[in-house]
Amino acid sequence: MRIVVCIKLVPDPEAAVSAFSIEDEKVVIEDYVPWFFGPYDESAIEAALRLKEEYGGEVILLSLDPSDIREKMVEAMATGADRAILVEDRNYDRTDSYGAARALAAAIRKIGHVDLVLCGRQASDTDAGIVAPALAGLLDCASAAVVRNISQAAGRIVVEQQADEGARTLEVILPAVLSVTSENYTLRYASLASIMEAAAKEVLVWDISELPSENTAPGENPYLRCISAHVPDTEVECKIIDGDSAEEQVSNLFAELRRDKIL
Amino acid sequence: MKIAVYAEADKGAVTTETKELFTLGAQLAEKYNGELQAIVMGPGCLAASAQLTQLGAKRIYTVEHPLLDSFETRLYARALIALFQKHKAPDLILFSHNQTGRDLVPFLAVQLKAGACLDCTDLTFNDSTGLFYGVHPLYGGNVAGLYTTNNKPQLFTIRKGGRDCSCRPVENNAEIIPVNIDLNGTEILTRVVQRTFAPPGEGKLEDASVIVSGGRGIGGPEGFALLRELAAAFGGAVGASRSAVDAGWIEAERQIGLTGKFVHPDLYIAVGISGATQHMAGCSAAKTIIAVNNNPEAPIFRRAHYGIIADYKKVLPLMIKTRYLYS
Amino acid sequence: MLSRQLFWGIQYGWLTYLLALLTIAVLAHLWRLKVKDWSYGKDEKAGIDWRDRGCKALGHLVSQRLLGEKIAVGIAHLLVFYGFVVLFIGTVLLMLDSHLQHFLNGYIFVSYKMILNIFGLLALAGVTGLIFRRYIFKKAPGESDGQTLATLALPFLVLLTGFLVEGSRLAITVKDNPGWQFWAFPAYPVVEFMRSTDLASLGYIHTLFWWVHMVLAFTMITAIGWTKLSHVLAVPLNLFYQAGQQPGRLREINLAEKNFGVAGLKDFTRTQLISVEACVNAGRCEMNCPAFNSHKPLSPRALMEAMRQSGVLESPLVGNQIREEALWACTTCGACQKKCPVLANPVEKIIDLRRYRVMALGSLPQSLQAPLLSLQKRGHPWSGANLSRLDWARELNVPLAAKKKDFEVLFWVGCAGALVERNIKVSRTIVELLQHCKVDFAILGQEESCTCHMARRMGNEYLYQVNAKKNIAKLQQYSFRTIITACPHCYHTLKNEYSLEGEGLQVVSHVVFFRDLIKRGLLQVKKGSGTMVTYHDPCYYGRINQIFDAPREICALADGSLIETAKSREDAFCCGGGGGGIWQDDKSGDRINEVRAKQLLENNVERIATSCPFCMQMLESALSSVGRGEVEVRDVVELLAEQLKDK
Repeated sequence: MRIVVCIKLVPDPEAAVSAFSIEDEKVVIEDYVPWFFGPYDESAIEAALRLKEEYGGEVILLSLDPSDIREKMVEAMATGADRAILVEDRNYDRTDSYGAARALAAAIRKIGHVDLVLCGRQASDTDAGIVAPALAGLLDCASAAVVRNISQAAGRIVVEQQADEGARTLEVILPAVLSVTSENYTLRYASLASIMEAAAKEVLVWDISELPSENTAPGENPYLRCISAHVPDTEVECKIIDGDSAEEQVSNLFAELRRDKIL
Repeated sequence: MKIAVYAEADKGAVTTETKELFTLGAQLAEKYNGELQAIVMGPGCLAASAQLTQLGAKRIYTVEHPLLDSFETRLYARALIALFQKHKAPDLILFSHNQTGRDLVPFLAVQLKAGACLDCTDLTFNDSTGLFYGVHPLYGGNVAGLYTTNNKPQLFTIRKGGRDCSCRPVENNAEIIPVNIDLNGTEILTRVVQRTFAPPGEGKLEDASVIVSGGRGIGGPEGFALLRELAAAFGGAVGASRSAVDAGWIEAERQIGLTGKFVHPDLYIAVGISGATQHMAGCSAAKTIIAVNNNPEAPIFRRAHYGIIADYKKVLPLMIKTRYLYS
Repeated sequence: MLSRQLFWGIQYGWLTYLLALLTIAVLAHLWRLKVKDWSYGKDEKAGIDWRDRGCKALGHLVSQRLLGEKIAVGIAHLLVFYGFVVLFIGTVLLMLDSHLQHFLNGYIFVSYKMILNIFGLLALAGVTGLIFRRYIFKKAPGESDGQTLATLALPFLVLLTGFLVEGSRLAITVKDNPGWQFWAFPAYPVVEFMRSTDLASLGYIHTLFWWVHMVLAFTMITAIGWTKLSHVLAVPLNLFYQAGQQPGRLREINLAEKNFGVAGLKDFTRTQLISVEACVNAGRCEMNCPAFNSHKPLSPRALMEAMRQSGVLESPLVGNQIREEALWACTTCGACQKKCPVLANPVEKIIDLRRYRVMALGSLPQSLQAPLLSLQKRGHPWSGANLSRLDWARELNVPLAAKKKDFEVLFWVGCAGALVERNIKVSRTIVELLQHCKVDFAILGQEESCTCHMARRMGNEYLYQVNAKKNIAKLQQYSFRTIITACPHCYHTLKNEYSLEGEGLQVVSHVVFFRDLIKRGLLQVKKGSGTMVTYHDPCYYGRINQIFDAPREICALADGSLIETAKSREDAFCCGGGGGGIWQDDKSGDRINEVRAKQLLENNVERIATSCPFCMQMLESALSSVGRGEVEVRDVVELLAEQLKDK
């Protein structure tokens, strides 16, 4: 099975509120904030590695970025991916999920035969979760978002999908695009030995212009634009609910919650 | 202007989430003089249309087909595309940000070449551009982005909660338009083989929209029974801090925090939890935090949005009662 | 005139020389095997200051002070040690007397015999004590196997037969040895017992005892090669290599050469292998180990013993002789290292084994992966903190090194001090005190990165080396004289592992820094009202870096009364947070922090003072879980700040 894992470099999802500011309606992130592949993307890598271990095949990491992030991709291969492809696009707007989906779809077509595409359930910068189903739409193949377990049975992929009511087990016909959630897939710890080994692996770099041009240029005909942003006031002020008795406290709490539209 | 709600029904009954969407849709329709429509697919959609009429839909498209029995992303997208080939697509379609919405909408958007924004907390309309704008939190909520698209129809999935869903039925005459479409069984790529229903209070913490969590202050395993009841009242799950897990009062899978799970519920009720950084790391993504603790100095009161300083054993039974009273 | 003939009453006495040669050959062969095993170890190629090392080792050996902790065993061993030293010298003197120059006669002979008899008796008493301890009181640690039996029985029998030989000889030659009751008093009962026996039988008996004694003595000497008596050579050798080394300082390894730590014995350095051989199963490590005493699956003694007995150089130790859980139970508190009578240093071996697990195999407890990955990604272990390294200093007007460039004191805040809510309070207090005393200081802010003390001890030497390089380069950019920190772990690393003092920098702990400010009159403090306070020694300030008095002086001054906990100073029990313990999700045994909290509460104290961000977190959490949340844990500088005079 050939598995492509789409990963996105994001600023530290745990960065402090103070690291973000807005200039000209654009988000500015302080320089000291580290960038790495997001936690859900790591889960997708782990899911792919486990499939490879169990059923054999190849794991290819695929990323789209405006800059040369080969070094980061080499690091990401330390956990066991076979190769990595970087699509470089200087004009890539990180908030344009559909543009990203189109570029990734073009790259996947260029790779050739691919059985399974895995994404994280959402990138931790945009928190959108658009890319995986959009990729499926572009490739017109099976799609399942937010899956927490993937296995293979009788030539078919069986996934356990998180659902509103609990969980659903789906049989999926390949090729398919799945987005993976974190609960069963904590990325394995890369030993220094494997990091040093990965350093010898090469990252293939494709410029966006090398990919089939039709509909691939992000930003050209955006399905979605982030036109402005603001930093919300996150300073938490705790409303201490008063009341002479527990009854009064509870009824006051529910009144507050309803007034603030939380219930 | 046509504003459509993608309506979902469970055994013929319109879901709460859909009702929330109607509240939003009706507000927008009224404010901007638009026509409120509904699209409902799958089994029992005719039964649902009566309720949708009461919710204020002027025009209801019902798409019935044996293959639409259970949700399948590509098949549902095919059905909607076929619908829009027969009937002009509305300007705006509202979806719930649930399992269907997050899978279907991006898939549909690229195939329709439409614009879609997921997981919006709010929606506004700009007269001069004639476009809708969705507010979507970025960077773990540190930034709020305003999203739009020129491509029509504009699709948005709306985050659950925060809206009135007890819509009063309105006097209304709706035009019900049954739509016949051709679907091919060979198009089906995913098939549901099993459904698991999480018992109340024991759902997966990661998907729970409400979590009731207990800490050292609970005092023993018996206290967690009360927490489970409260969680069930909210349709949520029970979590715990490390100290409660270490004490053996609850199983380790329930642990939230740095060494446990990271959760992002809409509502997090922290009971007898002091609020150590280690624990808060796991639940700081919660949209609303309510703290119940008898120690006014507990750090949790600096991280929570609402605080009750009292003995949880007195407060929780009342919360359970009140919750059932109002839902 | 009194004197003594070498082979008195013995025929074929020259045979002993043959036996001696044979003994030496056997011993040499056995030791050659040991040395050969050591030679498979890594060669450190370190320069050695022979004189300094030699003096320190001799000091340890002669004083035997490291044995002092268990007083009875210490004395017993002291008796055996000096007994045999004197008997050995005595035997050599007798040979010199017989073959070179006759000098043992008259009063010299009497004193000679008397000294030998006294020391022989003392040694016998010592070894009898040790036998009683193991076989009667059953208080000795380790297995009582054949080797152990030989280790104790051989010296006992050699000494005993020595007195039997002497007694039977005296019984025959009573008349030639006037005053023997005085200078050979230990043989008195033997002589009395044999007096009635006829001379011919006595001759036979004497000959028999003599040969038995000789054979036993030579067997005992070969036992230096095949029992734990090997320590009589291995320990002095180990003391030579280990004495005078900075405790808690880890050995740097060359990662570029793919040296990722220790899998099997051959991956240790040669000196480490010597220290494995030197281990005598004394059990002082175990007695003082916080993990062992909290019923965790670690005994440093058993671990050393397992390594000593493994015998296989190649095969991996963990999973065979050593349980993986044992490795991760260590808090690197250094009690085993400091209390070891032979300086065998189990903790550095544990770290070496961890290094291999982490760097070569990527195998470590899940709960320790999060802090290490966070360190790797964002330079601090506090995943989930959601704070920047400057958020804590908001509204405090803290000068940044990048802006100031030239200043007196650099305040190294540390990750916990900047990112953990409770510890932030201490950092803010320190800034207020520094500003109050008008100290010219700055902090690195975002430019600071973890010293990686914990990462290194969790086995990730790579992270440590990368961060150390980065931090040292950053520190060299600015001009300052003193670096202070409120974290003992940062302190130890900056001082002893980054070796900043070699670069003309002074690394000072926050407790010493503020104590000195008080002494110089720059900080004036009102005497406190005397709440009951005790001080918990953080391992890396106390035992490992000997900072004991400064925090106590501050406590005594600022609080008025200081009550010592039984286990304090050198004997302080770890809070359980070290070596990654603070992040570990370990369910086995008791929780170390709760064990420690109970010790600290023994005197009904109202407050616990400490001076380490990790101890602070561990103790606060323990106090609330043992139901004593009302007892406050404060950093000593917080006590100090409460009592500022003009505030």
